[in-house]
Amino acid sequence: MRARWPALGLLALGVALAAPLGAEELVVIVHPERVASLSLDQIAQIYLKQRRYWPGGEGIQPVNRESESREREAFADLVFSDTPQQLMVYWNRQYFLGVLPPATLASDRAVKAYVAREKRAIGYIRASAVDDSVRVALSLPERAAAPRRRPERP
Amino acid sequence: MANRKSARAMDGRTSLRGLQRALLLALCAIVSASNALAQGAASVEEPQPEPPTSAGDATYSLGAIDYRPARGIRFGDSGLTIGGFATFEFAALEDAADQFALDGPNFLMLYEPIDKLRFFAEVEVGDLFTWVPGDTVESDATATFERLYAEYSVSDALSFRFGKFQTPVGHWNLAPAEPFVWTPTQPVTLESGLGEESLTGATIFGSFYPKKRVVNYWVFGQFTDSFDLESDEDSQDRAVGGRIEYGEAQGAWLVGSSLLASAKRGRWSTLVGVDAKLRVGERLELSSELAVSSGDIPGRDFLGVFLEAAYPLDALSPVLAKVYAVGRIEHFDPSPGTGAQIADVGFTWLPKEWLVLKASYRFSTHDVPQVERGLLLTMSVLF
Repeated sequence: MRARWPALGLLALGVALAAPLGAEELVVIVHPERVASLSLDQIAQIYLKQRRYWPGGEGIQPVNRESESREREAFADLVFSDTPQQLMVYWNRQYFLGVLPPATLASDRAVKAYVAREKRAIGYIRASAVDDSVRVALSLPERAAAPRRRPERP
Repeated sequence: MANRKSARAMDGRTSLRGLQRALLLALCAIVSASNALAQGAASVEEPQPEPPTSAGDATYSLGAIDYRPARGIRFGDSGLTIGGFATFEFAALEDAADQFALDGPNFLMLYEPIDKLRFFAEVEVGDLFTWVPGDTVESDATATFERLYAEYSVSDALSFRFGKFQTPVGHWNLAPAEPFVWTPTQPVTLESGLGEESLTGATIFGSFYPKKRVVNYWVFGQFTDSFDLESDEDSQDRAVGGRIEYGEAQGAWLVGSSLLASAKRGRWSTLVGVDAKLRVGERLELSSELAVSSGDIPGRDFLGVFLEAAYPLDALSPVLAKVYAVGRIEHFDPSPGTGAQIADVGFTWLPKEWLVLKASYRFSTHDVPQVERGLLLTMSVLF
């Protein structure tokens, strides 16, 4: 019994430190005035800068999380069919074409605040961070339940 | 007394346990609260350029100006980004002396003042130096606009580009520069057969997205003389053509077809091509192009076809992480009966996103003027 409390404490500490994502759902958010829902492929194309304009003709501003974040890793795993190495090759090729990767923000709150303010923006945050200031365009399946996407073959 | 000591010891242990619990609970509360505060304290921030994804790399900032390797210098929110690339090369070709060369640097300049409008330029400094051991160092450093255009987009389905740009013929020629392809050599079909990589004129292009698919199109024409700081005798005078692509939404497979009719001193040639790229599983990448050209322009008749493969070797050993085995077989036939089979085999290593190292050997079955057999080593740096 004596040894249990420190162990439980360490477990609680670990959970607290690992809390930022865990098994929690990610959601893709847009400005509340955007009414169109988005598919997974559309979101992938937006974040690959292949699809660059909203239906009304305004430019899309995708906002990424920083490359080391758990949210970014989970998002990339759920959305892209490419591996990180393949994405690096892709962005190098885009560099030659004058296309740069999406800009980044460092927290759910920062992404939400930016998307709430900027009508052209799109971002992703944890489901628990959503409020009325933004609209959910797509809920991404939980990472554990979602194997890496494999594109269809012709 | 012993009982009191024992009771005091018990009390002490109990209070120690209580203290442990309290400390642990307090620690958990502090960690949770600090997470919440860290998120709560942030104000509305502006998105920042993508930070480096390679371990050990950094973004360097000076006021509003920041620089990231392989993504260039960004001048605040002005919309201006300047970057580029250069390639160091060692060639040990058959029937030629070994030589070292610096190809480039090429500077890329992007200016996006508003959403729909962008200006882009690529300036190539040229071969900064070529050194044959035992001989003198030569330099042919001349600035050339490889690309210089303005682009206006109405939507994803409709964009206009004016200026000098890569001729949208075949998949390879959309981004043919050395650091952005798998091999240090270009397919002979494109290097010799296509004639020019770019044209000066206008193109209308765009994309449509039927269910889980993408359709890209280009229609283009050259209605003026080529825009070069130095005149080029081989420049085409006029050109017209188009390209269409159909593929999976994220590009796991893609098939395309291109048509190019070009004129030179009143003579016309027509090139027709089909191409495809396919990712097999998560690892193997295949691409292939076939082009046939015929007409009145001397030296432009040919038939060429190639198949290229790139396969990552990290599954074999962690030492080979980011190393790819690369190979290409090609048939190039500039005139009936003089065709050659060409093979390029080698390795490409991508240790960082700003560094590309390649080693490749080219074989061919026949002596064809357009084919140089031998070893080529390159190191490209993206800056």
